[in-house]
Amino acid sequence: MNNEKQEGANQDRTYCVFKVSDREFLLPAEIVKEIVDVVRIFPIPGAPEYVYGAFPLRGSVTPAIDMSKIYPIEEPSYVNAKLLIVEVEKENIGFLSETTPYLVTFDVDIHIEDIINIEEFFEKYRIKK
Amino acid sequence: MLEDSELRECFLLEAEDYITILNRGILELENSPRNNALLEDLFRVAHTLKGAAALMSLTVTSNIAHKMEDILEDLKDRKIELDPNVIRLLLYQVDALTGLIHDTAEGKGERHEIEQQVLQKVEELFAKDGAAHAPSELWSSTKPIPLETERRRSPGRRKEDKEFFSGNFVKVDIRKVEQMLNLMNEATIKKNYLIEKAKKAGEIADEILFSGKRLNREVNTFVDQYAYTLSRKRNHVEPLSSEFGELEFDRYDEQNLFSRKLQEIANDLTEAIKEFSELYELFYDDVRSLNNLIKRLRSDVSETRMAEIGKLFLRFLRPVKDLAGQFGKEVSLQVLGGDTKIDRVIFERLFDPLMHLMRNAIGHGIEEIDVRLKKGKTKEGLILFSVKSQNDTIILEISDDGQGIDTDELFKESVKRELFRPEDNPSREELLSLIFLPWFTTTERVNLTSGRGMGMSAVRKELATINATIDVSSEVGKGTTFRIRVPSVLAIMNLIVFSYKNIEFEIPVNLIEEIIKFDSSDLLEGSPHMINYKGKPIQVKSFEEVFRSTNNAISGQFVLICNLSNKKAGLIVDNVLGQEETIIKPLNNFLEGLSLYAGTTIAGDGKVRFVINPIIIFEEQAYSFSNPTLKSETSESKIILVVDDSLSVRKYVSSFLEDKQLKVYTASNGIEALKMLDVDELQVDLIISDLEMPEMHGYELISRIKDSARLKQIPIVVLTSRGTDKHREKAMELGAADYLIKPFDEKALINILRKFFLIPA
Repeated sequence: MNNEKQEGANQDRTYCVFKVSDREFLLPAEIVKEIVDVVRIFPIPGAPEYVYGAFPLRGSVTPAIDMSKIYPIEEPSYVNAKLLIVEVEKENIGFLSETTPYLVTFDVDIHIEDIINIEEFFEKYRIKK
Repeated sequence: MLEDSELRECFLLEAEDYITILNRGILELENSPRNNALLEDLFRVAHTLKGAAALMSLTVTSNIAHKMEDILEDLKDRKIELDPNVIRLLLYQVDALTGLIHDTAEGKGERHEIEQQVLQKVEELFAKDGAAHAPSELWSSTKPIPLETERRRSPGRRKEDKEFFSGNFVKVDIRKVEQMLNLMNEATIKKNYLIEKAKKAGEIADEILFSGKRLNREVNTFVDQYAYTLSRKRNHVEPLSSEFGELEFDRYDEQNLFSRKLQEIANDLTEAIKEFSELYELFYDDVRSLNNLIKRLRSDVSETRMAEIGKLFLRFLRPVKDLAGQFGKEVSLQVLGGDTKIDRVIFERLFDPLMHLMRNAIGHGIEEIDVRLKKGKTKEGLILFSVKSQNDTIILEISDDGQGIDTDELFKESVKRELFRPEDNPSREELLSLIFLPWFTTTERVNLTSGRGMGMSAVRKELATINATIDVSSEVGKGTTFRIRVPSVLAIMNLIVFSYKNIEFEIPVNLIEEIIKFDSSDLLEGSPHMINYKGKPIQVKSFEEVFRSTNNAISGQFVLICNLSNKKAGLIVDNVLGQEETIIKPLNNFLEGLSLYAGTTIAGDGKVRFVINPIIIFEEQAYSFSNPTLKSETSESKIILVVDDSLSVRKYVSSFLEDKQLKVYTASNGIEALKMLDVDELQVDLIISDLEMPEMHGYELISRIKDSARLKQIPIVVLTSRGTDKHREKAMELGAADYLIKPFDEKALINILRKFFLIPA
């Protein structure tokens, strides 16, 4: 156990930080495939509010997630928004960010709130039958 | 019936695989003789090969495979030990099979002596007390059919047959084909978009040409008039130039020059436009031929993924036999039109629904032998698959000649379920459509389902995922027919584009019977969700109702009449925008639960549209009463009552809370709040109250609420500008759950909301 911890202590992990209103969320950098500009997002009637809409991404229709509808955050302005494309379960989803995301590096042992565990997120928020 | 040559082709393709597996597996067995999983695999392959060969009436092939199966089974059961002799025997058998299959590929009959040879070898090996001690020289001359010479020896016969083993087939990963098809489809969409744009460009070119001609005409008239005439005005305007009066005949004035310049430009322009016009014609021809090339390429690529539907039916032969045996019935299966081609993906998705229908037919449709004989029917029941292709749709019919569906039973059951009143007189068709309702899966009494696998509603739902529809007709005593309509190609489809509140959607054309104009006066009096269609009342739904229950009057301009199982229903939409041929992409798996959509499309200009699934819209939601998408929207919304005498505080706090997806009610004083809670019986999850208010202040409100048995559970948070401990203590004493001081800190309020589970932590 101890050994493992010590090994871990030397490892840094890089995160992609994105912003929704006054709140920042982190995604492990290695799962962020790309960052794209929001061109046009099409509404999906019948979907929960946190699914802002869907947009075409290289031939696939990809959902855009609005974190402000999941967490209690002030109404964001997605005027010059970016989309962080994350691959999960072999398909892409996009997180809306108000600003251009940036990278930070932490020691893995440092506990940071607001890191999105993408698998858990997917399981919790995907629209189930 | 399936044609022999086609059956043979299927068999040969299949057999080639089996031979490869057997060869490789047996060699592997040599290294790991106790590998049970491998033995199991080989056993299964031999078994399948046996069955397939028997189907082709290739008795020798079948018998040898059978012998092989026996040996493999014995090995599996450790009845015999695996030694090199057994391995050699197995390989000998595989060689024999290869030779036989090769003969079949060449169109020759089976050589019966091979069977003798193989059986002899088997006997020789196992004769000696079951132990394998064959003299080794027995195996030296074993190759029963020298393949190479065989091939050379017999020229002629069908070319394709010969090509079978000679490397003209390439095996391709189906995913690769899928990928090519996807790219092809993308190219098709782009191409369609290009053609659309090219047509527009053509229109603009025509316009330019027309304007150019007009311009030229006008300029010419102008030039005729002014190019060589003298302008008298000029003298008047510039009297100084009269000094050069004698020169004026040799000079042209500005107007002359201008008009001639104009003519030159106009001529250039006309020339350029003409050239452009010619170029455009050529370009458009090229686009059109590109269009044809892409179309052909696409159909060729999709062809590789197409399979003959008759092959699917081969898979039913065995289960039909087994099932019939289980039920003590005799059933024969006949296929009509098995050469119809269908997308392999659809083909796979049809298997389970068809299997289910077949089970029903054997289990419940076809009668026991003695019953049949008593009714004067043949001893053997018949299941007939008939397939035909109509435009892009394949129509599959599965009929049995059994007892048919008793609609009286259906009527009794539906009266019990209050779908009909006893005095109603529904049509036979209406009653038959009931078998697709979910609850029929649970009723054994009506003898419609065999009690295992999926019910008819699941069959319909499964078919809906490939945009297929199913309906049923049945005659008591004569039999039942299920009719499935399925698009022959899954990926590319013709879709109708329609809009609702400026959002565009699509619906597959094959599900639409007709589009008619709608006027709210069309709604039947007394039943606001029905209209008359071709003399019959049908259910209609506005597109709005698909998403939420609403009391709004149904509005819209058009009704899309949809074909559903045994009935029609109308979807009322705002506008119908046109038709397009495009790919339906499956929903992203994050959105999978939105079952009202069959998929999405991306138009050439990048527009995303959702394809709706009318089967789900009209049938599933209507009967299951649960809409998963709506649930997620509303279930979490908690209610908060904000009590404050200041309008701006009420406004500010409510908008803050509403942003957090909370439902907010407001009251301006304690009396009003109590009235809402007590008289109007408003159910709230949290109260946020000021202390100083007219009529009834906060302290009293808190104590009144805490006195009420019904209300005292509701947490009350005080929001006040009184920051002293004295006030705080008093409020907490009375039963307030928390205390916030104005101007309040949003984070503090959020923390409170989290504390009371009104928003996710």
